[in-house]
Amino acid sequence: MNPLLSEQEKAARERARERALELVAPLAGAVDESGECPAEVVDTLVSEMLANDDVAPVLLLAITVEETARVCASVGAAVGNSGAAALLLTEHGADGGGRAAVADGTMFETGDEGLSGVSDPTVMATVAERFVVIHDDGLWQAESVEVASVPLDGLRGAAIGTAEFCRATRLAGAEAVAAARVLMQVQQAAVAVGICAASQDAALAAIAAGKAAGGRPDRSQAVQWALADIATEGEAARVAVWHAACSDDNDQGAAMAQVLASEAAVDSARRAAQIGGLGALTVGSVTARLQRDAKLTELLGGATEVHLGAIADALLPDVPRA
Amino acid sequence: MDWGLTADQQMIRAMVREFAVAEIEPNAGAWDKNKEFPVATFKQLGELGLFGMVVPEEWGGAGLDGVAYCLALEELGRADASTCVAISVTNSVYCTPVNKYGTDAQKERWLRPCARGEWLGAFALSEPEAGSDAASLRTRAERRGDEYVLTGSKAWITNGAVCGAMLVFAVTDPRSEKRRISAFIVPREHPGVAIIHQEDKMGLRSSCTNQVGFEQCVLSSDHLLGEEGDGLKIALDSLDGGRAGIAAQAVGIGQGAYEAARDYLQEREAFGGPIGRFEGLRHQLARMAIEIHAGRLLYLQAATLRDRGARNTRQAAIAKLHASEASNRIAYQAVQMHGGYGYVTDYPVERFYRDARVTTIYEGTSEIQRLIIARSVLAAAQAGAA
Repeated sequence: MNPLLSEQEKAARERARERALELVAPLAGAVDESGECPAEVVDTLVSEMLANDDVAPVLLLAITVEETARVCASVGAAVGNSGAAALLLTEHGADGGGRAAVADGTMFETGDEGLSGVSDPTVMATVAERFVVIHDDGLWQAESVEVASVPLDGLRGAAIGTAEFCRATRLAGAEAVAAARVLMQVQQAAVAVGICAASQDAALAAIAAGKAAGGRPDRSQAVQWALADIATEGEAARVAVWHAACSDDNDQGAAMAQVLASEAAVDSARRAAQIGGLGALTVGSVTARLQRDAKLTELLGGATEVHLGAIADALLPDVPRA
Repeated sequence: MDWGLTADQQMIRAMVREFAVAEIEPNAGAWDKNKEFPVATFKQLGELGLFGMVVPEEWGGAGLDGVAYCLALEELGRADASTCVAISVTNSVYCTPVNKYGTDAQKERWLRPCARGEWLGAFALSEPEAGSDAASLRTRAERRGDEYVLTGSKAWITNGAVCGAMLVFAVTDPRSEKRRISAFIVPREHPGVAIIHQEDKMGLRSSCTNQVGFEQCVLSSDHLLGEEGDGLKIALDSLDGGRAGIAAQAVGIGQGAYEAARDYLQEREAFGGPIGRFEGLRHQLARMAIEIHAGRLLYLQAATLRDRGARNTRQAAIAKLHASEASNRIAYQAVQMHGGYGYVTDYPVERFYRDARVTTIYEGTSEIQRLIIARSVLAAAQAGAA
């Protein structure tokens, strides 16, 4: 057993952090304000990730998404979805090239014409050139798409929309669906872990600002305990994501990671705002954005209650839901 | 990164689980009710090598890594937290420091018997008026020539009345700020050692928790562990190592409570079927499983760091804080799911509920863990590496 990052994995994390600070951090405020997804930046980060053969791809995706989301959750979510699409297309032998997104949903129909129907709200939908569609009977590659933007008050720059597919061709059979959904859950949970890390950064920045103004918030037990809780919940979520990213036999681990991480993100953002005081809620502040973004992680890609229900089904296989 | 257990780790976990299910779990309720320390079972545990799991083979121990050790503690905690704590204290805060800081002669006298399963060990740091504030101890070890005279009392000593020897921390230089405390290995039968009191506890009722007194307890200098003045360093280092173990114990308690609740949800019928079909209870059960899962991953990571010789202070504190608080929530919920049956001793969940409570208190309260974590995060931020 080695539940620690290897040297190569640490290097990949460091690289992801550097690239996020270099490419994403300068845009983060504007992305949130304008609601426009910096798709070229997303493409760059995804292609750089795909070029790294030193680290297992799902773990690398989780690491990259966390570090990106740490500076901008919208871009982190976009990299996560687009990266997952690229991994699925590669794994199932589809042609490379073109910006892709993964869509899931319950409103699809399949028949002789392939798959049709409208997806759930999907990250990257409004800027994607093609889609990998997850349906219970398999993975599909969409060829014909109508997209409608979904204006949400969180992850504003993640290009979220619904996609209507008129025709799609099969990419893989039902045996590929579970792994694809795990991949999606891992990258979505990684976004939430990134928000936890960003909340810790924001809390530390608020403490530093307080010290610079002549106070000693670092000596306040209330502040220390809140900071400790942010660190603890974030770390619990992070190990759950890493574990899910590394496990072949997932056994609800990814769903558990998503519940843990999304709730930790909401709690951490709230605690960071409390440490920051009123300034943390001014329009355009990082902490205000973190709180809006965090809430979406409990809803997007399946509400927490959906995941809890699925986990419980696995824990109580002989007792069907009422 | 590889989360798979090695063959040895799997074997230890399976062996301890088999023993715990067969010999401990069926009796834990009665031991708890009678406040009975199960001497015969501990003899078996000693023969299985569980007193010296972390002791190197050259001193008669099993030489397990920290991960395997924590897995064993989780299995014991799942069956009976009282049994678990006696094993945990012996390994984490007696054997580990004696092995790390002791001379060969000290190990021969006071480590090998423990590793052979003849003794349990104890750790005597807390005092009636000094718990979390370990630096303000009052127990004195006054030097007289080549000897020390130990005077004072220690409180909350797990295994105090049933150990072969205990690690006692006492003030040797009251004028020094940083090196005022030293550590001594003190056999329980040594003249001047008295078991003053046995605590009547809310939980862990079949474990021994004692107040121990020292009156004109004369120790030759070969009882001194490490150098004079090393005591606080040894104590804090031992507690750092022990925290992952307590996290594992807490995960075990949570697992036991969770399994009891899961089984009950399937067995108990109300409104025309098993209560496990109701969404609210299903979601609660899922949350219990999630918290256990995270606690387990955290203690595995903290134990691995220590196995590799890396400092694990923050990780161990995070693991203990998360796992101990989670085990309390889980045990609370397990009682709630049982309704009235959760409040009586016919079912094990009330024992888990009482046993979980102390995990947020001993080997560093949750409040102390938060301070440790916060200071670590602040220090890392100061150094540019939060």
